[in-house]
Amino acid sequence: MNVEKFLCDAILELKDIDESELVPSLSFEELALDSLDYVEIQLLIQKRFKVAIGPELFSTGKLKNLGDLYRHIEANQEQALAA
Amino acid sequence: MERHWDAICVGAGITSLAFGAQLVHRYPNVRLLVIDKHTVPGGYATMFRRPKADAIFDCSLHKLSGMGERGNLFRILSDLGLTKELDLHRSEEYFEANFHDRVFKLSNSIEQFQVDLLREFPAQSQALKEFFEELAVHGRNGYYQFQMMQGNYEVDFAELRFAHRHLKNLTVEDALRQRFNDPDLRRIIAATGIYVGGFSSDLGYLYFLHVLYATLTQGNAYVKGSSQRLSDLLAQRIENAGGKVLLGTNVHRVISDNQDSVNGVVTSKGNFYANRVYINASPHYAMSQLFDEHPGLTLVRMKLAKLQPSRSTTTLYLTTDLPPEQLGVESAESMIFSENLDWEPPSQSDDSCEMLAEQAFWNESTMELTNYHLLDPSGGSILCANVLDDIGHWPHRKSELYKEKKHRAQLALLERLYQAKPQLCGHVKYVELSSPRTYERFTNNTDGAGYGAMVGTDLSGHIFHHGFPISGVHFLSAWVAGPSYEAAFGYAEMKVNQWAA
Repeated sequence: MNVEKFLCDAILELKDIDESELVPSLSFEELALDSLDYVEIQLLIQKRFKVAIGPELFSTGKLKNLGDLYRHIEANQEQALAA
Repeated sequence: MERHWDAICVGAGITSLAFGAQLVHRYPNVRLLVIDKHTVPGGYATMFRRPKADAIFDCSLHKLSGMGERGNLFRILSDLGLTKELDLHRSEEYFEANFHDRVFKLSNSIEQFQVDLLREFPAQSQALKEFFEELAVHGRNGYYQFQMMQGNYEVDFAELRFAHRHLKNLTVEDALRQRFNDPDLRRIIAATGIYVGGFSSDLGYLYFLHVLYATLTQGNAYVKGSSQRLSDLLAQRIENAGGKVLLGTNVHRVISDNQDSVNGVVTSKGNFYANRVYINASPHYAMSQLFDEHPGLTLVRMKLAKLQPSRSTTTLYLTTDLPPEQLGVESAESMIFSENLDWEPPSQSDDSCEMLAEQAFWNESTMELTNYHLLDPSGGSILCANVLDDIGHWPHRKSELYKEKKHRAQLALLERLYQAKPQLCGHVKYVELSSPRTYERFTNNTDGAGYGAMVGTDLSGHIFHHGFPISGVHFLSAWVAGPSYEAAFGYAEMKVNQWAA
Protein backbone atom coordinates (compact mmCIF):
# COMPACT_ATOMS: atom_id res chain seq x y z
CA MET A 1 0.00 0.00 0.00
CA ASN A 2 1.38 3.40 -0.85
CA VAL A 3 1.89 6.18 1.68
CA GLU A 4 -1.01 8.32 0.51
CA LYS A 5 -3.57 5.51 0.49
CA PHE A 6 -2.46 4.29 3.91
CA LEU A 7 -2.65 7.73 5.51
CA CYS A 8 -5.97 8.62 3.89
CA ASP A 9 -7.48 5.43 5.31
CA ALA A 10 -6.07 6.27 8.73
CA ILE A 11 -7.46 9.81 8.66
CA LEU A 12 -10.87 8.57 7.52
CA GLU A 13 -10.83 6.39 10.64
CA LEU A 14 -10.02 9.40 12.81
CA LYS A 15 -12.15 12.14 11.32
CA ASP A 16 -15.65 12.46 10.02
CA ILE A 17 -14.58 13.71 6.60
CA ASP A 18 -15.38 12.84 2.99
CA GLU A 19 -12.64 10.99 1.09
CA SER A 20 -12.83 13.51 -1.77
CA GLU A 21 -11.60 16.25 0.62
CA LEU A 22 -8.33 14.44 1.33
CA VAL A 23 -6.23 16.20 -1.27
CA PRO A 24 -2.48 16.78 -0.75
CA SER A 25 -3.02 20.52 -0.26
CA LEU A 26 -5.38 19.93 2.70
CA SER A 27 -3.69 21.54 5.70
CA PHE A 28 -3.55 20.07 9.18
CA GLU A 29 -5.33 23.21 10.39
CA GLU A 30 -8.25 22.40 8.09
CA LEU A 31 -8.21 18.79 9.25
CA ALA A 32 -8.69 20.04 12.84
CA LEU A 33 -6.86 17.18 14.50
CA ASP A 34 -6.63 17.22 18.27
CA SER A 35 -3.48 16.45 20.26
CA LEU A 36 -4.27 12.73 20.56
CA ASP A 37 -5.06 12.43 16.83
CA TYR A 38 -1.50 13.64 16.16
CA VAL A 39 -0.11 11.04 18.56
CA GLU A 40 -2.04 8.30 16.76
CA ILE A 41 -0.90 9.42 13.30
CA GLN A 42 2.75 9.69 14.41
CA LEU A 43 2.66 6.20 15.89
CA LEU A 44 0.92 4.72 12.85
CA ILE A 45 3.61 6.11 10.55
CA GLN A 46 6.38 4.86 12.82
CA LYS A 47 4.86 1.39 12.92
CA ARG A 48 3.99 1.11 9.23
CA PHE A 49 6.89 2.93 7.53
CA LYS A 50 9.60 2.91 10.26
CA VAL A 51 9.77 6.68 9.95
CA ALA A 52 9.87 8.72 13.16
CA ILE A 53 7.84 11.91 12.99
CA GLY A 54 8.95 14.19 15.80
CA PRO A 55 6.09 16.29 17.25
CA GLU A 56 8.14 19.42 16.46
CA LEU A 57 7.61 18.82 12.71
CA PHE A 58 3.95 19.71 13.23
CA SER A 59 4.42 22.32 15.95
CA THR A 60 7.04 24.29 14.01
CA GLY A 61 4.92 24.16 10.87
CA LYS A 62 7.55 22.23 8.86
CA LEU A 63 4.77 19.87 7.88
CA LYS A 64 1.79 22.02 6.95
CA ASN A 65 -0.39 19.77 4.84
CA LEU A 66 -0.93 16.16 3.77
CA GLY A 67 1.37 16.54 0.76
CA ASP A 68 4.23 17.66 3.04
CA LEU A 69 3.66 14.60 5.18
CA TYR A 70 3.59 12.19 2.21
CA ARG A 71 6.84 13.65 0.84
CA HIS A 72 8.50 13.56 4.26
CA ILE A 73 7.63 9.89 4.75
CA GLU A 74 8.70 8.90 1.25
CA ALA A 75 12.04 10.70 1.56
CA ASN A 76 12.79 9.24 4.96
CA GLN A 77 11.55 5.80 4.00
CA GLU A 78 14.17 5.69 1.26
CA GLN A 79 16.82 6.58 3.86
CA ALA A 80 15.51 3.93 6.24
CA LEU A 81 15.58 1.30 3.48
CA ALA A 82 19.05 2.38 2.36
CA ALA A 83 20.31 2.02 5.93
CA MET B 1 24.41 42.53 32.46
CA GLU B 2 24.88 40.44 29.29
CA ARG B 3 22.23 41.27 26.65
CA HIS B 4 22.69 38.36 24.21
CA TRP B 5 21.69 34.79 25.12
CA ASP B 6 21.19 31.44 23.38
CA ALA B 7 17.62 31.24 24.65
CA ILE B 8 15.26 33.23 26.86
CA CYS B 9 12.45 31.84 29.00
CA VAL B 10 9.58 34.22 29.74
CA GLY B 11 8.45 33.24 33.21
CA ALA B 12 10.38 31.25 35.81
CA GLY B 13 7.61 28.77 36.52
CA ILE B 14 8.44 25.15 37.23
CA THR B 15 8.41 24.13 33.54
CA SER B 16 10.91 26.83 32.59
CA LEU B 17 13.16 25.78 35.44
CA ALA B 18 12.78 22.08 34.59
CA PHE B 19 13.52 22.83 30.94
CA GLY B 20 16.49 25.06 31.81
CA ALA B 21 18.08 22.64 34.26
CA GLN B 22 17.77 19.74 31.80
CA LEU B 23 18.99 21.88 28.89
CA VAL B 24 22.21 23.04 30.60
CA HIS B 25 22.78 19.54 31.95
CA ARG B 26 22.74 18.14 28.42
CA TYR B 27 24.32 21.15 26.68
CA PRO B 28 26.66 22.75 29.24
CA ASN B 29 27.68 25.56 26.89
CA VAL B 30 24.14 26.81 26.30
CA ARG B 31 23.53 30.15 27.99
CA LEU B 32 19.97 30.59 29.15
CA LEU B 33 18.21 33.64 30.56
CA VAL B 34 15.02 33.09 32.57
CA ILE B 35 12.95 36.19 33.41
CA ASP B 36 10.12 36.54 35.92
CA LYS B 37 8.23 39.44 37.43
CA HIS B 38 8.03 37.71 40.83
CA THR B 39 10.83 37.99 43.41
CA VAL B 40 11.26 34.22 43.81
CA PRO B 41 11.60 31.52 41.13
CA GLY B 42 9.01 28.78 40.66
CA GLY B 43 5.76 30.44 39.61
CA TYR B 44 3.09 28.41 41.34
CA ALA B 45 5.82 26.18 42.86
CA THR B 46 6.82 28.73 45.49
CA MET B 47 6.26 29.52 49.14
CA PHE B 48 5.50 32.67 51.07
CA ARG B 49 6.50 33.69 54.59
CA ARG B 50 4.44 35.15 57.40
CA PRO B 51 7.09 36.00 60.03
CA LYS B 52 4.56 37.16 62.66
CA ALA B 53 2.89 33.77 62.49
CA ASP B 54 6.31 32.08 62.31
CA ALA B 55 5.04 30.29 59.21
CA ILE B 56 6.14 29.38 55.72
CA PHE B 57 3.28 28.35 53.42
CA ASP B 58 3.54 26.35 50.20
CA CYS B 59 1.57 27.82 47.29
CA SER B 60 1.13 24.56 45.38
CA LEU B 61 -0.34 21.15 46.08
CA HIS B 62 3.09 19.73 45.62
CA LYS B 63 2.45 16.01 45.69
CA LEU B 64 4.89 14.76 43.06
CA SER B 65 3.74 11.75 41.06
CA GLY B 66 6.12 9.38 39.28
CA MET B 67 8.55 9.33 42.20
CA GLY B 68 8.86 5.56 42.44
CA GLU B 69 11.98 3.92 41.00
CA ARG B 70 10.24 3.38 37.63
CA GLY B 71 8.58 6.78 37.60
CA ASN B 72 9.23 9.31 34.86
CA LEU B 73 9.83 12.19 37.25
CA PHE B 74 12.19 10.21 39.47
CA ARG B 75 14.21 9.26 36.38
CA ILE B 76 14.49 12.88 35.26
CA LEU B 77 15.47 14.11 38.73
CA SER B 78 17.99 11.24 39.03
CA ASP B 79 19.54 12.17 35.67
CA LEU B 80 20.01 15.68 37.02
CA GLY B 81 21.54 14.30 40.22
CA LEU B 82 18.80 16.03 42.21
CA THR B 83 17.46 13.03 44.09
CA LYS B 84 20.53 13.21 46.34
CA GLU B 85 19.82 16.84 47.15
CA LEU B 86 16.09 16.54 47.71
CA ASP B 87 14.80 15.32 51.03
CA LEU B 88 11.59 13.46 50.19
CA HIS B 89 8.65 12.44 52.32
CA ARG B 90 6.65 9.42 51.18
CA SER B 91 3.27 8.99 52.85
CA GLU B 92 1.70 5.67 53.81
CA GLU B 93 -1.70 6.85 52.65
CA TYR B 94 -2.98 8.16 49.35
CA PHE B 95 -5.49 10.11 51.40
CA GLU B 96 -7.93 9.76 54.26
CA ALA B 97 -11.55 9.84 53.07
CA ASN B 98 -13.85 11.86 55.35
CA PHE B 99 -17.59 11.40 54.94
CA HIS B 100 -20.08 12.80 57.46
CA ASP B 101 -20.79 9.27 58.75
CA ARG B 102 -17.46 7.47 58.28
CA VAL B 103 -13.74 8.05 57.94
CA PHE B 104 -11.24 5.61 56.45
CA LYS B 105 -7.73 5.62 55.05
CA LEU B 106 -6.71 4.64 51.54
CA SER B 107 -3.26 3.23 50.96
CA ASN B 108 -0.63 4.71 48.72
CA SER B 109 0.11 1.32 47.16
CA ILE B 110 -2.17 0.43 44.26
CA GLU B 111 -2.72 -3.15 45.48
CA GLN B 112 -3.67 -2.10 49.01
CA PHE B 113 -5.71 0.82 47.65
CA GLN B 114 -7.88 -1.72 45.81
CA VAL B 115 -8.19 -3.84 48.95
CA ASP B 116 -9.22 -0.75 50.94
CA LEU B 117 -11.91 0.14 48.40
CA LEU B 118 -13.18 -3.46 48.31
CA ARG B 119 -13.44 -3.43 52.10
CA GLU B 120 -15.49 -0.23 52.07
CA PHE B 121 -17.56 -0.97 48.96
CA PRO B 122 -17.96 -4.78 48.78
CA ALA B 123 -21.01 -4.56 46.49
CA GLN B 124 -18.81 -2.88 43.84
CA SER B 125 -16.18 -5.65 43.68
CA GLN B 126 -16.70 -6.59 40.01
CA ALA B 127 -16.91 -2.97 38.92
CA LEU B 128 -13.71 -2.19 40.83
CA LYS B 129 -11.91 -5.16 39.27
CA GLU B 130 -12.81 -3.95 35.76
CA PHE B 131 -11.93 -0.35 36.60
CA PHE B 132 -8.43 -1.25 37.79
CA GLU B 133 -7.89 -3.38 34.67
CA GLU B 134 -8.84 -0.35 32.59
CA LEU B 135 -6.49 1.83 34.65
CA ALA B 136 -3.60 -0.61 34.20
CA VAL B 137 -3.89 -0.52 30.40
CA HIS B 138 -5.10 2.94 29.42
CA GLY B 139 -3.63 4.81 32.39
CA ARG B 140 -0.24 3.29 31.58
CA ASN B 141 -0.45 4.14 27.87
CA GLY B 142 -1.34 7.74 28.72
CA TYR B 143 1.45 7.93 31.28
CA TYR B 144 4.09 6.95 28.71
CA GLN B 145 2.76 9.23 25.97
CA PHE B 146 5.92 11.36 25.74
CA GLN B 147 8.08 8.22 25.49
CA MET B 148 5.64 6.81 22.94
CA MET B 149 6.15 9.89 20.76
CA GLN B 150 9.93 9.63 21.13
CA GLY B 151 9.79 5.97 20.03
CA ASN B 152 10.91 4.65 23.44
CA TYR B 153 7.65 2.91 24.39
CA GLU B 154 5.92 0.21 22.39
CA VAL B 155 2.16 0.60 22.55
CA ASP B 156 -0.48 -1.96 21.63
CA PHE B 157 -2.26 -0.18 18.80
CA ALA B 158 -5.58 -1.90 19.40
CA GLU B 159 -5.57 -0.58 22.98
CA LEU B 160 -4.68 2.93 21.84
CA ARG B 161 -7.37 2.95 19.18
CA PHE B 162 -9.99 1.65 21.62
CA ALA B 163 -9.11 4.41 24.10
CA HIS B 164 -9.25 7.15 21.46
CA ARG B 165 -12.58 5.89 20.14
CA HIS B 166 -14.36 5.10 23.40
CA LEU B 167 -12.70 6.88 26.33
CA LYS B 168 -11.38 10.16 24.93
CA ASN B 169 -14.79 11.82 24.63
CA LEU B 170 -16.13 10.74 28.01
CA THR B 171 -16.04 13.01 31.04
CA VAL B 172 -14.89 11.47 34.31
CA GLU B 173 -18.39 11.96 35.67
CA ASP B 174 -20.05 10.06 32.81
CA ALA B 175 -17.47 7.29 32.89
CA LEU B 176 -17.74 6.77 36.64
CA ARG B 177 -21.54 6.75 36.48
CA GLN B 178 -21.34 4.03 33.83
CA ARG B 179 -18.94 1.99 35.98
CA PHE B 180 -20.08 2.43 39.59
CA ASN B 181 -23.49 2.86 41.15
CA ASP B 182 -22.21 3.97 44.56
CA PRO B 183 -21.97 7.78 44.71
CA ASP B 184 -19.41 7.77 47.55
CA LEU B 185 -17.09 5.51 45.58
CA ARG B 186 -17.46 7.78 42.55
CA ARG B 187 -16.51 10.79 44.68
CA ILE B 188 -13.44 9.03 46.08
CA ILE B 189 -12.15 8.11 42.63
CA ALA B 190 -12.93 11.59 41.26
CA ALA B 191 -11.22 13.36 44.18
CA THR B 192 -7.84 13.05 42.43
CA GLY B 193 -9.15 15.70 40.03
CA ILE B 194 -8.23 18.38 42.57
CA TYR B 195 -4.54 17.70 41.75
CA VAL B 196 -5.16 18.80 38.15
CA GLY B 197 -7.76 21.53 38.61
CA GLY B 198 -10.96 19.87 37.49
CA PHE B 199 -14.21 18.45 38.76
CA SER B 200 -15.42 15.13 37.39
CA SER B 201 -17.75 16.93 34.99
CA ASP B 202 -14.79 18.99 33.66
CA LEU B 203 -12.09 16.39 33.06
CA GLY B 204 -11.65 13.92 30.23
CA TYR B 205 -11.70 10.33 31.43
CA LEU B 206 -8.78 9.08 29.36
CA TYR B 207 -6.53 11.86 30.64
CA PHE B 208 -7.79 11.29 34.18
CA LEU B 209 -6.84 7.60 34.04
CA HIS B 210 -3.26 8.61 33.31
CA VAL B 211 -3.23 11.03 36.27
CA LEU B 212 -4.56 8.31 38.55
CA TYR B 213 -2.04 5.83 37.16
CA ALA B 214 0.80 8.30 37.73
CA THR B 215 -0.10 9.07 41.33
CA LEU B 216 -1.17 5.57 42.41
CA THR B 217 1.20 3.22 40.63
CA GLN B 218 4.37 5.22 40.03
CA GLY B 219 4.96 6.38 43.59
CA ASN B 220 4.40 9.85 44.97
CA ALA B 221 6.39 12.03 47.31
CA TYR B 222 6.59 15.51 48.79
CA VAL B 223 9.73 17.61 48.87
CA LYS B 224 10.70 18.77 52.35
CA GLY B 225 11.08 22.54 52.36
CA SER B 226 8.02 22.87 50.09
CA SER B 227 7.92 23.24 46.33
CA GLN B 228 10.25 26.25 46.70
CA ARG B 229 13.12 23.90 47.53
CA LEU B 230 12.72 22.16 44.17
CA SER B 231 12.38 25.47 42.28
CA ASP B 232 15.47 26.91 43.99
CA LEU B 233 17.59 23.84 43.16
CA LEU B 234 16.61 23.97 39.49
CA ALA B 235 17.29 27.73 39.32
CA GLN B 236 20.69 27.11 40.91
CA ARG B 237 21.54 24.54 38.22
CA ILE B 238 20.80 27.10 35.51
CA GLU B 239 22.95 29.77 37.18
CA ASN B 240 25.80 27.34 37.95
CA ALA B 241 26.02 26.66 34.20
CA GLY B 242 26.42 30.35 33.37
CA GLY B 243 22.74 31.11 32.92
CA LYS B 244 20.76 33.75 34.75
CA VAL B 245 17.40 33.73 36.54
CA LEU B 246 16.43 37.38 36.45
CA LEU B 247 13.69 38.15 38.98
CA GLY B 248 11.56 41.21 39.66
CA THR B 249 11.54 41.94 35.95
CA ASN B 250 8.48 42.41 33.77
CA VAL B 251 8.55 41.16 30.19
CA HIS B 252 6.61 43.70 28.13
CA ARG B 253 6.94 42.31 24.61
CA VAL B 254 8.45 39.56 22.49
CA ILE B 255 10.22 41.07 19.48
CA SER B 256 10.86 39.62 16.04
CA ASP B 257 12.52 40.72 12.81
CA ASN B 258 10.91 41.30 9.44
CA GLN B 259 11.44 37.66 8.48
CA ASP B 260 9.16 36.57 11.32
CA SER B 261 11.97 35.12 13.38
CA VAL B 262 12.04 35.92 17.08
CA ASN B 263 15.01 37.91 18.29
CA GLY B 264 14.38 38.81 21.90
CA VAL B 265 12.24 40.49 24.52
CA VAL B 266 11.58 44.00 25.83
CA THR B 267 11.57 44.11 29.62
CA SER B 268 11.43 46.59 32.48
CA LYS B 269 15.23 46.22 32.65
CA GLY B 270 15.91 46.81 28.97
CA ASN B 271 16.07 44.52 25.94
CA PHE B 272 17.54 41.02 25.87
CA TYR B 273 18.24 39.15 22.66
CA ALA B 274 18.05 35.48 21.63
CA ASN B 275 16.78 33.61 18.60
CA ARG B 276 14.79 31.22 20.75
CA VAL B 277 12.16 32.40 23.21
CA TYR B 278 10.25 29.96 25.42
CA ILE B 279 6.96 31.23 26.81
CA ASN B 280 6.22 29.81 30.24
CA ALA B 281 3.14 31.90 30.90
CA SER B 282 -0.53 31.59 30.23
CA PRO B 283 -0.76 31.60 26.42
CA HIS B 284 -3.95 33.68 26.68
CA TYR B 285 -1.98 36.31 28.59
CA ALA B 286 0.94 36.01 26.17
CA MET B 287 -1.25 36.44 23.10
CA SER B 288 -3.04 39.47 24.51
CA GLN B 289 0.02 41.22 26.02
CA LEU B 290 3.35 40.06 24.60
CA PHE B 291 3.08 40.09 20.81
CA ASP B 292 2.68 42.94 18.36
CA GLU B 293 -0.18 42.57 15.91
CA HIS B 294 0.67 40.01 13.24
CA PRO B 295 -1.68 38.50 10.63
CA GLY B 296 -0.60 34.97 11.50
CA LEU B 297 -1.67 35.35 15.12
CA THR B 298 -5.39 35.47 14.29
CA LEU B 299 -5.47 31.72 13.70
CA VAL B 300 -3.50 31.07 16.91
CA ARG B 301 -6.04 33.12 18.87
CA MET B 302 -8.92 31.21 17.29
CA LYS B 303 -7.38 27.91 18.35
CA LEU B 304 -6.56 29.32 21.77
CA ALA B 305 -10.22 30.18 22.35
CA LYS B 306 -10.78 26.43 22.64
CA LEU B 307 -8.11 26.02 25.34
CA GLN B 308 -10.11 26.26 28.53
CA PRO B 309 -8.33 27.32 31.73
CA SER B 310 -8.50 24.87 34.61
CA ARG B 311 -10.45 25.70 37.74
CA SER B 312 -8.76 27.92 40.22
CA THR B 313 -8.51 27.22 43.93
CA THR B 314 -9.47 28.97 47.10
CA THR B 315 -6.98 28.01 49.78
CA LEU B 316 -7.06 28.36 53.53
CA TYR B 317 -3.61 28.52 55.17
CA LEU B 318 -3.57 27.77 58.90
CA THR B 319 -1.19 27.32 61.79
CA THR B 320 -2.13 25.39 64.94
CA ASP B 321 -0.76 25.51 68.50
CA LEU B 322 -0.22 21.74 68.51
CA PRO B 323 0.89 19.37 65.76
CA PRO B 324 -2.24 18.81 63.61
CA GLU B 325 -1.92 15.01 63.95
CA GLN B 326 -2.65 15.49 67.67
CA LEU B 327 -5.82 17.35 66.68
CA GLY B 328 -7.40 14.64 64.54
CA VAL B 329 -5.59 15.34 61.25
CA GLU B 330 -3.80 12.00 61.18
CA SER B 331 -2.95 11.73 57.48
CA ALA B 332 -0.71 13.88 55.35
CA GLU B 333 -3.69 14.34 53.12
CA SER B 334 -7.44 14.17 53.71
CA MET B 335 -10.36 14.55 51.33
CA ILE B 336 -13.45 16.00 52.99
CA PHE B 337 -16.68 15.14 51.19
CA SER B 338 -19.94 17.00 51.66
CA GLU B 339 -23.26 15.37 52.50
CA ASN B 340 -24.79 16.48 49.22
CA LEU B 341 -24.68 13.43 46.95
CA ASP B 342 -26.07 15.34 43.98
CA TRP B 343 -23.39 18.00 44.06
CA GLU B 344 -22.33 19.47 40.76
CA PRO B 345 -20.51 22.69 39.89
CA PRO B 346 -22.79 25.56 38.90
CA SER B 347 -22.76 26.31 35.20
CA GLN B 348 -21.21 29.56 33.94
CA SER B 349 -24.65 31.12 33.69
CA ASP B 350 -25.28 30.33 37.35
CA ASP B 351 -22.07 32.08 38.39
CA SER B 352 -24.03 35.31 38.38
CA CYS B 353 -25.88 33.96 41.37
CA GLU B 354 -23.25 34.54 44.01
CA MET B 355 -24.92 32.66 46.84
CA LEU B 356 -25.31 29.56 44.70
CA ALA B 357 -21.66 29.66 43.61
CA GLU B 358 -20.37 30.15 47.16
CA GLN B 359 -22.52 27.32 48.47
CA ALA B 360 -21.41 24.98 45.66
CA PHE B 361 -17.68 25.70 45.62
CA TRP B 362 -16.97 26.34 49.30
CA ASN B 363 -19.52 24.22 51.15
CA GLU B 364 -20.26 21.29 48.87
CA SER B 365 -17.34 20.53 46.57
CA THR B 366 -14.63 18.19 47.86
CA MET B 367 -12.11 19.86 50.15
CA GLU B 368 -8.50 18.70 50.16
CA LEU B 369 -6.55 19.12 53.40
CA THR B 370 -2.76 18.76 53.65
CA ASN B 371 -1.00 18.38 57.00
CA TYR B 372 2.40 19.92 56.30
CA HIS B 373 3.66 19.08 59.77
CA LEU B 374 3.57 15.39 58.84
CA LEU B 375 5.49 16.09 55.64
CA ASP B 376 8.14 18.23 57.29
CA PRO B 377 7.94 18.78 61.09
CA SER B 378 10.68 21.42 60.94
CA GLY B 379 8.29 23.65 58.95
CA GLY B 380 5.90 24.04 61.90
CA SER B 381 2.30 23.09 62.56
CA ILE B 382 0.80 24.04 59.24
CA LEU B 383 -2.35 23.00 57.42
CA CYS B 384 -3.60 23.94 53.97
CA ALA B 385 -7.19 23.38 52.88
CA ASN B 386 -8.08 23.68 49.20
CA VAL B 387 -11.32 23.74 47.25
CA LEU B 388 -11.60 24.18 43.52
CA ASP B 389 -13.24 27.48 42.70
CA ASP B 390 -14.18 29.74 39.81
CA ILE B 391 -13.01 33.30 39.39
CA GLY B 392 -16.33 34.22 37.79
CA HIS B 393 -18.06 35.04 41.06
CA TRP B 394 -15.12 36.90 42.62
CA PRO B 395 -15.09 40.73 42.43
CA HIS B 396 -11.87 42.51 41.52
CA ARG B 397 -9.22 42.87 44.20
CA LYS B 398 -8.97 45.98 46.33
CA SER B 399 -12.73 46.45 46.40
CA GLU B 400 -14.86 46.33 49.53
CA LEU B 401 -16.97 43.55 47.98
CA TYR B 402 -13.82 41.46 47.49
CA LYS B 403 -12.78 41.84 51.12
CA GLU B 404 -16.26 40.85 52.27
CA LYS B 405 -16.23 37.80 50.01
CA LYS B 406 -12.82 36.71 51.27
CA HIS B 407 -14.13 36.96 54.81
CA ARG B 408 -17.18 34.84 53.94
CA ALA B 409 -14.97 32.25 52.24
CA GLN B 410 -12.71 32.05 55.28
CA LEU B 411 -15.65 31.49 57.60
CA ALA B 412 -17.25 28.90 55.31
CA LEU B 413 -14.06 26.86 54.86
CA LEU B 414 -13.17 27.04 58.56
CA GLU B 415 -16.65 25.87 59.51
CA ARG B 416 -16.33 22.90 57.15
CA LEU B 417 -12.95 22.08 58.58
CA TYR B 418 -14.23 22.20 62.16
CA GLN B 419 -17.16 19.97 61.22
CA ALA B 420 -14.84 17.36 59.73
CA LYS B 421 -12.06 17.77 62.32
CA PRO B 422 -13.73 19.10 65.50
CA GLN B 423 -10.55 18.77 67.57
CA LEU B 424 -9.08 21.69 65.62
CA CYS B 425 -11.57 24.05 67.33
CA GLY B 426 -9.73 26.41 69.66
CA HIS B 427 -6.30 25.40 68.34
CA VAL B 428 -6.05 27.48 65.18
CA LYS B 429 -3.58 30.33 65.76
CA TYR B 430 -3.39 31.99 62.36
CA VAL B 431 -5.61 31.92 59.26
CA GLU B 432 -5.13 33.40 55.82
CA LEU B 433 -7.09 32.88 52.63
CA SER B 434 -6.02 33.09 49.02
CA SER B 435 -8.63 33.41 46.31
CA PRO B 436 -8.63 32.89 42.52
CA ARG B 437 -7.77 36.61 42.30
CA THR B 438 -4.59 35.95 44.32
CA TYR B 439 -3.47 33.35 41.76
CA GLU B 440 -4.34 35.67 38.91
CA ARG B 441 -2.25 38.42 40.51
CA PHE B 442 0.87 36.32 41.02
CA THR B 443 0.83 34.17 37.89
CA ASN B 444 -1.00 36.23 35.22
CA ASN B 445 -2.92 33.02 34.59
CA THR B 446 -6.29 33.51 32.95
CA ASP B 447 -9.09 32.86 35.43
CA GLY B 448 -6.50 32.44 38.20
CA ALA B 449 -5.86 28.92 36.95
CA GLY B 450 -2.98 27.61 39.01
CA TYR B 451 -2.91 24.43 37.00
CA GLY B 452 -2.78 25.78 33.46
CA ALA B 453 -5.23 24.33 30.96
CA MET B 454 -8.13 22.07 31.73
CA VAL B 455 -7.77 18.70 30.05
CA GLY B 456 -11.37 17.96 29.17
CA THR B 457 -12.88 16.02 26.30
CA ASP B 458 -12.14 18.66 23.64
CA LEU B 459 -8.39 18.54 23.03
CA SER B 460 -8.36 20.74 19.93
CA GLY B 461 -7.14 23.83 21.84
CA HIS B 462 -4.07 22.04 23.16
CA ILE B 463 -2.30 22.42 19.83
CA PHE B 464 -2.79 26.20 19.62
CA HIS B 465 0.98 26.58 19.16
CA HIS B 466 1.21 24.37 16.06
CA GLY B 467 2.49 26.37 13.11
CA PHE B 468 3.15 29.47 15.25
CA PRO B 469 3.87 32.24 12.73
CA ILE B 470 7.02 33.58 14.44
CA SER B 471 9.81 31.03 14.25
CA GLY B 472 11.89 30.44 17.36
CA VAL B 473 8.94 30.98 19.71
CA HIS B 474 8.14 27.93 21.83
CA PHE B 475 5.53 27.35 24.51
CA LEU B 476 6.21 25.56 27.77
CA SER B 477 4.12 25.18 30.93
CA ALA B 478 1.13 23.28 32.21
CA TRP B 479 -0.89 25.06 29.52
CA VAL B 480 0.64 22.78 26.90
CA ALA B 481 2.01 19.88 28.96
CA GLY B 482 -1.07 19.39 31.10
CA PRO B 483 -1.24 20.00 34.84
CA SER B 484 1.13 18.36 37.37
CA TYR B 485 4.83 18.53 38.06
CA GLU B 486 5.47 15.29 36.26
CA ALA B 487 3.80 16.47 33.05
CA ALA B 488 5.77 19.73 33.24
CA PHE B 489 9.10 17.91 33.60
CA GLY B 490 8.22 15.36 30.92
CA TYR B 491 7.26 18.04 28.42
CA ALA B 492 10.37 20.04 29.30
CA GLU B 493 12.46 16.95 28.58
CA MET B 494 10.78 16.59 25.19
CA LYS B 495 11.59 20.22 24.37
CA VAL B 496 15.23 19.64 25.36
CA ASN B 497 15.27 16.63 23.02
CA GLN B 498 14.21 19.00 20.23
CA TRP B 499 16.96 21.55 20.96
CA ALA B 500 19.32 20.24 18.30
CA ALA B 501 16.60 19.18 15.82
